[in-house]
Amino acid sequence: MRKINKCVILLAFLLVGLTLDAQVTITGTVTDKATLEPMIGATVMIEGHNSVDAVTDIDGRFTLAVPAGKEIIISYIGYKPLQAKAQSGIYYIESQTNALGEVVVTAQESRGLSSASVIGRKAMDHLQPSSLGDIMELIPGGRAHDPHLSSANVIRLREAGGESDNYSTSSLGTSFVIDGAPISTNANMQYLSGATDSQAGKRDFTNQGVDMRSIPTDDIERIEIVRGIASVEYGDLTSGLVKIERKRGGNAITARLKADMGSQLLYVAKGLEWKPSQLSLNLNADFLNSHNDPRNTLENYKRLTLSARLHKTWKSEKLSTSLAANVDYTGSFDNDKTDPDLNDGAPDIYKSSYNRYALTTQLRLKSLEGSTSWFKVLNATAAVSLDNDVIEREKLVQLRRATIAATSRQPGESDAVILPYTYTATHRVEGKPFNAFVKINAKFQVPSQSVSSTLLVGVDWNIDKNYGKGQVLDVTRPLYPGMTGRPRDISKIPAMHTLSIYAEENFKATLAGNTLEVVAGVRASRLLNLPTGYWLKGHINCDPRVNVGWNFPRFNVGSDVGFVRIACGVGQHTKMPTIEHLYPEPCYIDLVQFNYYHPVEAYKRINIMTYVVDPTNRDLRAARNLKWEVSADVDIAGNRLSVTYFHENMTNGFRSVAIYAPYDFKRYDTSAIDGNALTGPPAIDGVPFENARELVAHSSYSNGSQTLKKGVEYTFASRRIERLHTRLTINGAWFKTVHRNTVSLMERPSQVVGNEQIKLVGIYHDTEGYTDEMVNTNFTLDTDVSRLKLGFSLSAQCLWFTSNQRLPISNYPSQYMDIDGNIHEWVPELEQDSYLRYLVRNNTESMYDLFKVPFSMNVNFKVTKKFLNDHLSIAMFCNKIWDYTPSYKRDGVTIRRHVNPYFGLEINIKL
Amino acid sequence: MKKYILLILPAIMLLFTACRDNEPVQETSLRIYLDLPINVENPVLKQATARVTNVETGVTTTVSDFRPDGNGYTYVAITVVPEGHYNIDATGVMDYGIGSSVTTTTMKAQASGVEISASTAASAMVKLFFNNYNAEDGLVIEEIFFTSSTYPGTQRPYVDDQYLKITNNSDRLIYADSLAIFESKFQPDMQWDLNPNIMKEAVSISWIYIIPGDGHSVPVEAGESIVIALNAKDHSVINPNSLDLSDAQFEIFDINSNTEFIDEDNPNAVNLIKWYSDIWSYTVLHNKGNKSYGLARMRTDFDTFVNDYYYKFTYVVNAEWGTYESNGEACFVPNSWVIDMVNLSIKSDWAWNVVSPALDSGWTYCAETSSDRTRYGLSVIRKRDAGGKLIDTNNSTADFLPRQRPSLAK
Repeated sequence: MRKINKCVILLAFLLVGLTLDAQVTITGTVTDKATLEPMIGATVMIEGHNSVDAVTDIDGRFTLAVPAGKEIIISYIGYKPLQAKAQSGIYYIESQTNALGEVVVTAQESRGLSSASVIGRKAMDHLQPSSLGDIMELIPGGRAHDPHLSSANVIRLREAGGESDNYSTSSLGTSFVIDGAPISTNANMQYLSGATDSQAGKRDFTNQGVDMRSIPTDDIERIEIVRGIASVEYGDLTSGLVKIERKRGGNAITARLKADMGSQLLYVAKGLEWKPSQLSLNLNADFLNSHNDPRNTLENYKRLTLSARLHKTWKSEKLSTSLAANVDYTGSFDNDKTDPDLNDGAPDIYKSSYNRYALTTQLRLKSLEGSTSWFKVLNATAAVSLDNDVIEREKLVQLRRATIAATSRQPGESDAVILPYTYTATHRVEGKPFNAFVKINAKFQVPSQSVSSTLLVGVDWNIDKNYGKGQVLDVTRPLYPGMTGRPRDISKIPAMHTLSIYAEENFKATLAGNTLEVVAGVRASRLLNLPTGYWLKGHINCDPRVNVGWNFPRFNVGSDVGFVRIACGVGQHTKMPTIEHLYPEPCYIDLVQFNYYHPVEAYKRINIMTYVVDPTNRDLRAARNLKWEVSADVDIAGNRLSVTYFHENMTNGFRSVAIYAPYDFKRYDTSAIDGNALTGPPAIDGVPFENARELVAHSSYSNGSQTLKKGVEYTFASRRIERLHTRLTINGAWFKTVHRNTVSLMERPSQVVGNEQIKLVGIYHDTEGYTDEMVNTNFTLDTDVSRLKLGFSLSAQCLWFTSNQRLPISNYPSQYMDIDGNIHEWVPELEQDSYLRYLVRNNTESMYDLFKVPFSMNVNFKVTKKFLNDHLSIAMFCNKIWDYTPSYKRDGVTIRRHVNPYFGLEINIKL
Repeated sequence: MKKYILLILPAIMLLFTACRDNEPVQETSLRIYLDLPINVENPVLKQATARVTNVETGVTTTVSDFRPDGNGYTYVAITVVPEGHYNIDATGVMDYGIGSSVTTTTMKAQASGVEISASTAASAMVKLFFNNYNAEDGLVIEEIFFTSSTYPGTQRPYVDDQYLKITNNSDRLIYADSLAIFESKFQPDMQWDLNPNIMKEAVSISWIYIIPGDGHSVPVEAGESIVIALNAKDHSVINPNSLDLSDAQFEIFDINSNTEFIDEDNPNAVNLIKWYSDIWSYTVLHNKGNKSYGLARMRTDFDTFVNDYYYKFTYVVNAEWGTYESNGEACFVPNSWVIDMVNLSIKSDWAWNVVSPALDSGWTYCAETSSDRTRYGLSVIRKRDAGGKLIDTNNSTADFLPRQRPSLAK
């Protein structure tokens, strides 16, 4: 409120300063000539004046008293200044880089204060992607990769290295928002408990965010990837925001058929638009079929998406009301199976299906009362989605050695199941993540002629719940023998509710030809419905975020115009834990106490002591990432350079840690049992035993991972050189990322001294630490010969180097735990002890050597050509058509690198 | 498991102190004679040392003040030890003349299960015949079935049926009590530049197990064998491709309370005593044969072994993607304790031998390549000479027949 008061005072001050001659008062609207979108914060000057006379509001409107006969000059950074007759009406201004009809095939740096990449439809058409994952090539630091559609694709913004589950908060904390509704993955619990095989492992993206494979690109109009400090309107994120807006309107039937070396894609869409009634309906379907290895049809990935989007606008004198309703289906299917003919008929099948049904409605009320009204826009979004996700694994199990299954769900003593050596096992995971999301916000503007001051206030409420059964298997015939988990009904886990409120002020003022732009806001969020005892219960996480920009007065370079802006921002970002983080599976600790072998199967007996440990970390916090960045944006005659230095530090990312504790059990001496006298399994009563104790770990989630990202991102885009129809885009980045643990970790030595594993646990304050670095530059020359309807691009993607270095860690524990669970300080003399010396780790100096991979370059070629009056277009791409990937030496060893081209072809039809 | 084994287990660690505290053992003086070979000229014995190890307690007494006695072909020393059964192991260096030159050779002699008690004589006496270093103890590894089997049809591996066969290749009765079976730490396919490299003096090990006994518990008659099974049961009931090991006298049983790594304990086979392993789960032989296996007479007790016979080393790895230095740690068995050693390797991947050439200068194999699936179900078996004796020239390339049908196969 204080901020608004200040604005009002400032406004009053400025109003008093205005000279009120008898003049013509005009009301105009400034609009982008290409997109027809209102230009917010454009400056309006009366011819001959040295300072700004008016700034456009949220609708692009301004009101100004102009002396008769004078013209006005409208300016906006990156746009050609417009000098025109002063009269009420619409003024169209034209982007310097994107003249009307201009083709932009690269990502553009957003005009907003925070660093963001904007990718338009044309860029996607030219790139020829199969899924959203392919788009990441375009953002600074990106590089074309062969699609890996047989494993989950998660996003990694501004990050070098760190492909480990312990550092997946980075991808988990990147929010994907499609048409105003975020895709929530908080209730994703699709993992095969106890799995050790790669079939399951590489497709498990629990707690890793969105699998980008499942997002098709063909119905997308525009993607904005906010790498920097996002608006407080967006929450539950730490690392970034991917905002997707899909197509609306049009009356064409479009189809796309793409084939590349590993996949085929078919997309069909129909737009229906009734312009007079401002009603539109868009229908589309997409099917992708991909094989990791074209020779192996048994391992594949398939995607089917269906979408229907309705949009209607009503206009009254005072209000424009629009309603959008989207219905979406996404199916994402992994299959991986061993040919039974090569496996003696034994089944070995992995199938994962992900079916998401989503309904999104959006209501938008827009005031048409012009500058007199404080209220401008009200947005209300309501979205629900329900998944039906199933993983099915079937396999013939053949044990390598005698194995048992612990099946008791209760703590205490029980007999284990002695597994047969051969059996067919099935293991299913049934998940039904449900998400409901409601968001309401409104924009208010202080009526003013010379400053633009907009206030956004809003609230959102997010509900996540999983109605699935979770792990479904016969525990007496486990598919993963040795698994210690027991199935639990995940639908019993309480729903997770997150309530957030936010307010953001967007202020623009001009001072002597300079423009100051401030976007400052705060978002407060808290988890509801948490049981008592959780630290997060009742705790409010506040994310203040501020971006400030300063536009210097425009200047002339010969006949052209130049603009310079510097901006900086700082912001806190919060990602709440997922349902799995908050309510992890109980851990079962089973200790063998009675182990009797008999050649007769029915006379064997194994008795175990079971402890049920709740691994819930009630002290778990939300992961928080503090970002700051400084950027400069220079635009001279349509040649634009943007450079950003960023620094992000997240010290409490989610991490699974092992927690050791002592557990008591009995160790029976079965040697006195007379095997010949048995008529059934031996009785336990009366068998002598001794009390034993063992140190066993369970895993628990902590806030123990640090991800420190810093670097520079840059994008240079030249104006199209008219004679050559060619434009040069240079983008790239320097990323330096540190990943390390921030909580002490426990490790038990693997050695056996005497009969049993050493009963000591080392506690190490540093265990893991890596610095990864990379520098890249992509040079893209794109040529668009509109006369020939031909566009092609050549992109030289240079990776100057990548490097990896381990951070030095101490070989000595800081403390250790003995068999009774007591913690002792470590002292150097202990190294001489026959047992304790195994707690000393064996890292050498050379493990901290810098490992650097030198320069390599790939050249990618893409071409599109339109035929038949634009009804047909054919496009092809060849990535790595040429490469320079020299061998290099490391410690005298020559390392050879190989690169294979990857190509694809597509046909687009538009009727 | 036989009842007395359970008693032996704590006994090995506790008996020494227990006896001294509770029932005092009478001490006796022991006279040790070392006889040099009579086919050499002017022998001079230097650095002679005898290690007298009590089989029950593992306590070792070292005797080194050997003096010539009589004609110059016999040396003697006197020590005092408690009554009991002893393994005696003597080493020394002998200078002797061959023509005009003087040659030096290493000598050794062993006696196992020698009963020393005050009642036998006022002073007990042991006579040892000093022999060349490579002289045979008599117990040798006859066979190692390390590849294990696969299930019919699916060809998936089954690992529990591995075994070692140890044979008395001498003409006399030998006791296998306290015999150690161990696996090398290093692998023949990865040559490491070790610092320190103790290979000339000792074998670095991954695991070591001891045959329990009181000195006369495990008699092995001349020409007879003992089988040490990973799991002494009839595996052919489970897997028709596998073997019946239910008659194995010994098995490697790993006590583990972890349900994932449970081991079966056949009461009919005696469990070996585990002294050390660098793997906490359970012991298996390397099924590609990428390790070496040996037998030794331990000359020390458990506590001393795990404390003193341990070292740290650094090694340089020349990997495909670069060279780096790394650290490691291992327990080791002195070469002089080793009575037989067999190097195994993957045929195509052999890079070096991981033990001193004095112990084994060759290697044998079952796997032609690292991914050779035909290795399953095959064994390595020692050759026999015309007289039926096992050939032991300390060169497994010459001494062994690779890729054999296991002798215990039906």
